[in-house]
Amino acid sequence: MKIGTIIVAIALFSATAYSQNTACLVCHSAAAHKAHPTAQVVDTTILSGSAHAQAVCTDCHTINAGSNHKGNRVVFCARCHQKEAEGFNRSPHVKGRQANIEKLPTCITCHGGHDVKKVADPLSPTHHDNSVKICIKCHEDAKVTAQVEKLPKPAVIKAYEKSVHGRELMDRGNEQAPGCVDCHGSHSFLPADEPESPVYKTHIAETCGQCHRAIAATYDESVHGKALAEGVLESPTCTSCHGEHDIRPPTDSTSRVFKGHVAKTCSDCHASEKIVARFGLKPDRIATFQESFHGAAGQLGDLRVANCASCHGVHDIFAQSDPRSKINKANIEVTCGKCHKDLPADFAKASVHTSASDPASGGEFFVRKFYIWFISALILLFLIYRILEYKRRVKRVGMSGQ
Amino acid sequence: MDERTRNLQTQRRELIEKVSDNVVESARPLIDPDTKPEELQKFSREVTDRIQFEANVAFSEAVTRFAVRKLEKQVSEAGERMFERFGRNFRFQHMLMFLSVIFLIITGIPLKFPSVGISRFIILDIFGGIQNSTLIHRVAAVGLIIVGVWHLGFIIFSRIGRRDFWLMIPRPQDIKDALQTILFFLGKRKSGPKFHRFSFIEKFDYWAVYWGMVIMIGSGLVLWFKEQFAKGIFDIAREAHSDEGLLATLAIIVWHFYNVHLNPDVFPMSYVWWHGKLSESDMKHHHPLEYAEIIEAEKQKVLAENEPRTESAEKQP
Repeated sequence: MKIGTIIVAIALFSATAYSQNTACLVCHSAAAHKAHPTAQVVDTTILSGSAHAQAVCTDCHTINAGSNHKGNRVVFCARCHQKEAEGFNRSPHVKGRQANIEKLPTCITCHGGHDVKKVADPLSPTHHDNSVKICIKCHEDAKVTAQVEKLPKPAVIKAYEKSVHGRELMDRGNEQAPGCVDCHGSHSFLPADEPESPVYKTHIAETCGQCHRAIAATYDESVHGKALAEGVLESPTCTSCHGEHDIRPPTDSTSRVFKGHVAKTCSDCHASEKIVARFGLKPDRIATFQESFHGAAGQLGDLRVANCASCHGVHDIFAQSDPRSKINKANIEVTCGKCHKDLPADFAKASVHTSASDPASGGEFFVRKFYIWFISALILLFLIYRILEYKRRVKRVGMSGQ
Repeated sequence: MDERTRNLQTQRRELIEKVSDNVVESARPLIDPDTKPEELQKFSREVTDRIQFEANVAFSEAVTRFAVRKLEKQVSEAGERMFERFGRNFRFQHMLMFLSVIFLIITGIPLKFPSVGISRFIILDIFGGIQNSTLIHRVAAVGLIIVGVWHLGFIIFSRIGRRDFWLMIPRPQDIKDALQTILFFLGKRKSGPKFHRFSFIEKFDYWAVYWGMVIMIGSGLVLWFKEQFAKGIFDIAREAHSDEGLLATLAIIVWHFYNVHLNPDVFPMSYVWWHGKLSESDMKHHHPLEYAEIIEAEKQKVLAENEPRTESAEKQP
């Protein structure tokens, strides 16, 4: 019965929309301003150009009974936009209010008031082309971010503008490129440490996969994707290697996945004692690589030489035992053969990440041991000889002086 | 004359007067109190003049002594008999060798220390990347291999080469020489051992290079033609090449550069590598046994020539 009453009421309201608005405009029109100086002037032309052209004032504004409703400017978007409002109520923008943080955005801050437009409307502030500007207005303002400890510093957000996504969207007008809400979700904007957030670690691949579908699928199959799915939160996801706001194309020399930086990026975990020990990874992968010719040449600025990804793959990294792995014994000749033609016959059997400091490497280890002693002994002998010779020389010069 | 010069002259005059006054003051107890002030003035002038004169003499002496010594050395060398130590063939071997080795070291050592800034500077900024530096390394390696083959030919086919190689072979005497040298350095002996053509130090130098060439060229060829070798052999060769390269570099800097560059006797450089000659005094000092042998041989030759021409004269046509 109640719902029926409401529907009837709404129908009545709609039918009488014109007369309703006319009633409000008795005081709130520009013409009536002189007679009612305290009333807020409402430009009806703006309203009629908005998404809410068909709405009446009381759809959004609740009015107290009586003619004096001074100060009552609260609007209730939730009356119609329930789903969005639910999301918004979970957002830090609402939760912050409980912590008495000032100037938190409401619906109007982003969507506009009387001039509210549909998101699809290119003139709307929340349209894909414009929405980033709304967010950065506050999030790149140091005065605002200083108020809330948890907020990232403006530089972190600003990095987006220089990222491949930011440049595509803002500089080149590529509408396919994501803005803030495409990754963070609209309305709720859950922070990254909340498991429901689209930027929570386990959801990132899915979020990026909205656009990068094939890559996300490959990643999900990879050793990193599987581990993350099993709940190993240390396992890397897209942002662990590519960065977050400052994602840059691999061809960009400042990118974390640029050829010259790959070893460093992988070393974040594979040279981390904590992670290596905890998950039983092989400990010296980065060190042995840097010792090898590939590693040395890479450190000396060569970009043609192999890096981690050249052999292990990029998104398609599998355990060596997996037949899909590029470093599986069955595939190793193809992988190395990309650069090295005419590999020796039993190359696949050879171990690759060998180290002269590891006794298991055999000959290499003994050669290093031998030379450490040999070089030390010889140089010591040279120096002793020189010192003795020098002392004798001083003595001789002294004597001839007498 | 500008104002500055005038000022300086005034200052100088004042200074001289002050010094002479001081001299007079300090000498007063020694001077007869009845001496007249004019005489005192004269005396002080004499003293300052003397000091100035002595200072000038000391300075010019120091300057001329250096020049004279240099001149003396040149004159004595010009007049002195020179002994050929290294022939042209051997000197060219050495030149090709050090050119190759310098390039091998500066393109090779950075690979052993890739994380050091200067390595990156050398490879990236000087040579323009590892593609170039490894190419130069291989070209220089060919140079070194040529030296190796050339030298083997030299010690087999050249008469001088055969003689020098024979003299290069280590003998028990070298161990004795080494011990005596140490005893001499420690002051237990009055003089060091006397050397023949090659001292134990020079023999050590030579055989160190021999050993180094074998290891470096051998392992280097494995690295160059890695497709022909098993990965295990490649790894060992890489380690040996890298470590032996470091040893060679250190030996050249600590041992060889000291001997031929930094040693006060030859600083800044011994020019034997260029003209291949040693002066008579150097021969007497560094290679007395060889010197004695040469002189003795010449004496015999002269004696033989001046002998009464009995049998030999008859035999000549």
